Amino acid sequence: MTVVKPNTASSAEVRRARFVTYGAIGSIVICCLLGLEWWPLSGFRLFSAIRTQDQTSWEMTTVNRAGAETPVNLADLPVSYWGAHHVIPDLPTRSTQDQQAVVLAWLDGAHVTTGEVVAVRIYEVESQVPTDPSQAPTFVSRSQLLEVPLP
Amino acid sequence: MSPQQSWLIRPALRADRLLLSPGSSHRLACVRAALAVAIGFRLLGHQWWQMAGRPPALFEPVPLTAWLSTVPSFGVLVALEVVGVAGAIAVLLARRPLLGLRVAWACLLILGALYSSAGKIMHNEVLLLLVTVPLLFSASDARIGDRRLSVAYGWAPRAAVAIVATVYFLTGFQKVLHSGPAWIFSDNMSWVLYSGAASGQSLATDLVATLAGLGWAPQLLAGGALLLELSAPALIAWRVTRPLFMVAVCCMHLSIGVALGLDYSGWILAVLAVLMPWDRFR
Repeated sequence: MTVVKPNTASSAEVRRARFVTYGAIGSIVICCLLGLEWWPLSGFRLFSAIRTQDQTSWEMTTVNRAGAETPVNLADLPVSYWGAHHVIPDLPTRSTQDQQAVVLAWLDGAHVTTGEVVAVRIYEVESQVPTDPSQAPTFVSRSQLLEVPLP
Repeated sequence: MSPQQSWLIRPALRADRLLLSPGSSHRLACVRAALAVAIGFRLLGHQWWQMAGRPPALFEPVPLTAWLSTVPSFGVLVALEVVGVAGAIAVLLARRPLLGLRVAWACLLILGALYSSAGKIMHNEVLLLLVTVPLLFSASDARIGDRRLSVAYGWAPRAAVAIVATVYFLTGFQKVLHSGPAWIFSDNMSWVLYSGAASGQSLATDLVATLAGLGWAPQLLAGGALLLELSAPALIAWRVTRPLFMVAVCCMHLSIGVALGLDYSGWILAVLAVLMPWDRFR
C-alpha cells in the first residue's frame, strides 16, 4: 500500500479540512440550539413535541351575498397549492391584502368562481384522534379563526 | 494542563488528530459514489415538477429561496432534475466526479429548498445534503480500487461521519429538551401511531393501530428511538457498533415509513453511504 505524504499534508489541506468540518458541525449545532430554520440547516425538532389525543384541523368556506356558506375542500388542492394547513395558523397575523391574496389563490386552486363570493371564513376545528382507524375523529369544537373580506 | 482542561481538550485534540490522519483514496471514492447514488435516487424518486405553478401568494420561501418570487416553471424544475441526475451519473462513471457531485448536490439543494418553501420545513433531504458538504471540498483524484493513503483522502469521509453522529444526537437532544422523559413515558408514541393509522398515509393501518394500543410497546419504541439518537456518537465512534447503528437506523426509518407514510429514504441512504466499511470492499 502506498502512503502519500501521511504526516506532511499541506497546510492548505489541513486548514480546509478543519474549516469545512468544524464549520459544518458548528453551523449545525448553532442552528439547532438557537432553533434557526435556515434550510438545510435546521432546528431538528423532528417529533420533539409530545403528541396527545387532541388534534387541530382547518376548514374553509366561501360566503355569498346572502350569507350562505359553501365549504372548500383544502385537501383536494393540487400539489402546487400544498401547505394550506401550515400557512393558516399564521394567517391572522398578516395584512388584509396578504390574506386576500392567499385565500384567492386557494379558491383558484379549488376552481371556485369568486363572482358571488364576498368573503372567506376559516374555522379551527378541534377533534380527537380515533383509536379505531376506520372511525372519523371525534368532534370537540369549531371556532372561526378568521374572516377575509374579498375585494 | 488542569484536570478540567485535559477533560475538555484531550478528546478535542484526539478528534482533530483522527480527522487529519490518512485515509484511503478508495474509501473517499466509494463514499462519493454512494452519495451520488443517493442524490440521484432522491432526484428521481420525487415528482419535483408538481411544484410548478405555485401562486406567488402561497410561496413561503426559506432563506435559500428568498430571492425568488415563486417556484420556477415546469421546464426549469425538470432541467434541474435532469442535470442533477447527469451529475450523479458522472460521479459513477468517474468522469470529473467532484464536479459531478457538486452539480448533483446543488440541484437537490435547490429542489429541496423549493419543496420546503410551502410553509413547513421538510427534513427529507436535509441529512443527505449536510453529510455531502465535506465531500464537495475533497480531493478530486480519488479512485475506487486505489490503495493510496493520504490526509487529503481521509478527512472528508470522517467529517461526513461526524455530521451523521451530530445530527442524530441533536434530534434526540431536542426531544429531551422540549418534552423530557414524558416523550418516552407518556402516551406520546401511542398517539403518534394512532395519528399515523388514521391519516390514510400508513402502509399497515390495522397493525399500526394495534401496536399503538399494545400497552408498553409504544413506550418501548419511543425509548429505543431516543436511545438510538442520543447514543449515535458513541455507536458510530466504535467501529464494532457501527453495523448495529446502521441496522437500527434502517429499522427506525423504515418503520416510520410504514407507520406514518413519511419518506426518510434519504436519511437511510446517507447513513449507509457514509458508514459502510468501504475499505473492506476492494
